[in-house]
Amino acid sequence: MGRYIAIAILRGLLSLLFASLVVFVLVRATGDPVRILMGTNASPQDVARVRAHLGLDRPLAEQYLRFVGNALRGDFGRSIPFRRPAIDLVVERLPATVQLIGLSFVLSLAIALPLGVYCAVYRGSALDYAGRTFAALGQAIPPFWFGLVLILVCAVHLRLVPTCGRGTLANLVLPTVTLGWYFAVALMRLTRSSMLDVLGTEYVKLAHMKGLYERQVIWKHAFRNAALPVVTFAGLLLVAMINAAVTVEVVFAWPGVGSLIVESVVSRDFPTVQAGVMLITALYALSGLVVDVMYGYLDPRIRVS
Amino acid sequence: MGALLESAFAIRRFWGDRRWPPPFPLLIVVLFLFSAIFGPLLAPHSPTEGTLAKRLLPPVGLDGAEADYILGTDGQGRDILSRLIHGARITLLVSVAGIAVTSVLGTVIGLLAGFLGGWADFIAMRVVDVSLSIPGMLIAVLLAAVFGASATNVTIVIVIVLWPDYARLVRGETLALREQDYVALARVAGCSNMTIMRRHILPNLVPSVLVLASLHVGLAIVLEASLSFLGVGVPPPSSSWGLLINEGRGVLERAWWVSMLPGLVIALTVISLNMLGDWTRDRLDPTLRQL
Repeated sequence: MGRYIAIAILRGLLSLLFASLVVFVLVRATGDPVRILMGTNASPQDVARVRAHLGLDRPLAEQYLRFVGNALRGDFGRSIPFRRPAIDLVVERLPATVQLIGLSFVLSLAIALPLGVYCAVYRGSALDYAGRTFAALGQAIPPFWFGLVLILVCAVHLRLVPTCGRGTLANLVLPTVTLGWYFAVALMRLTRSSMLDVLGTEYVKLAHMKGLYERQVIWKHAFRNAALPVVTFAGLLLVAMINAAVTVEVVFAWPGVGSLIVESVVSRDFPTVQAGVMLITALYALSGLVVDVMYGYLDPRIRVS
Repeated sequence: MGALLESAFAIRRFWGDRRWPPPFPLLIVVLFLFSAIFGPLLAPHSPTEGTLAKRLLPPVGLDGAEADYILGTDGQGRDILSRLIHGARITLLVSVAGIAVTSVLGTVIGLLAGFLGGWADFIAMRVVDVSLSIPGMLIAVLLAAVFGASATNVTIVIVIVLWPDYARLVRGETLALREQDYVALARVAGCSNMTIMRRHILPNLVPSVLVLASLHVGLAIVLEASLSFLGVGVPPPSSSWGLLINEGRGVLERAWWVSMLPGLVIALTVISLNMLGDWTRDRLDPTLRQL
């Protein structure tokens, strides 16, 4: 198990390294950062001095190593419009994003698992059809648009909850439902098909023949085995949620990292964009690690291979 | 009489044996393709020039609507129907280009990894792992920050997000195909690795790659819409569907149709494409149910 975890950690580090390379290359591709910083009418001497000061006259490889070194210490430079360390801006916004994603994840599990399991158990019933319609619809509707629909119906017309912002519990409802619902759909489809596979096996039939309660057969014998692909997928889902959260945050003016990054792009605040992307990627790698470890724990066969 | 009966049977066989695609989704997709191709001829008004006097007209059927603007107008008095029709072309171009590049790239890498094995396989699979662990949406935002918003960015992001799926699928299939007798025979006959891959393995991969691609088109459309919605995808004044939704946000309370109609069009198109994708899968390769 130790070796297995070590490999998983190594994989996470590798992704982070690669992400830092992508961010570095993209940011350098913008052209000369000094020109952007100082404008076009700075004197050549000034430009050269600032370039030397920032280390931009060094070989690219050295610049990259320096970038990684600084990133490890959380130093991404200062945000241009806010005149503060970029990483502080991002860290301030992090709790809002984690709260939104965490709650949505729990909500989507709470909807998807029971629905998927019972759609499989009562295959072909009205429940199954309703579940599948829900799945087909959910896959096709972009989450940000669904968010707007919710705003229009619940906030503008019914006046049940506020449209945007963060602070009260009521503020949380619409963003969480928007994000959670979108992923519940994918998770439900997988749970259903995975359960259908398991329900056809001999040991489930045996469990029935032994005269166990239906509930015991479904949850203890069938679901435990059907859960494996669901766990892997849930990990990927968490990752996909980080992606989708960006649009949902923008729709609901949710003060998270995603909306901060988008705002920073608009104001061309590169240090903040860099810091945000790197931090989110770290979050990404971390959730991937958790899934790997959990998977190894649930299925001993994986650990050995 | 016999010949007549014979041909009647033949017709019966032709119509009866064939499982036709579901009609409603097919109709929507045909409509979508039609407007993407002939858009400029179909659109009743200009998609970019509006009449300010006719701002925020509601769709026909609501109070104050004008028959000339069937789906109403947006905040600059532009006809929504015309903008939707023009948007179909952008959506189609970006998603098809994205899927085409992705599937070719993913297939080549998956094929090489699966067939050559060893280091090639190891490296390719690590790159897949890493690609999966990079948030695609943020890469898009970064690209837009660096190069400015463009349709090319959207295509790049579609490739980054989707290629691992192809690489993994193709690698898996190649591993199985490599062990087939006809591959061993081809080798005995003196075929090079390249020839075996191209002539004996690649043709067998086509159905599953097609199935995956058909299931991905809808996803690519949603991705494009999300990026354009954020302002990092297709830039204005073009009328990408995601952009249309974004433009309607400011007037959501007064004129819901500006945002709601484009979203409805996306949902209808994607759901129809997905259903056709399912149908393609069932026709070509039902064993791919997990996809």
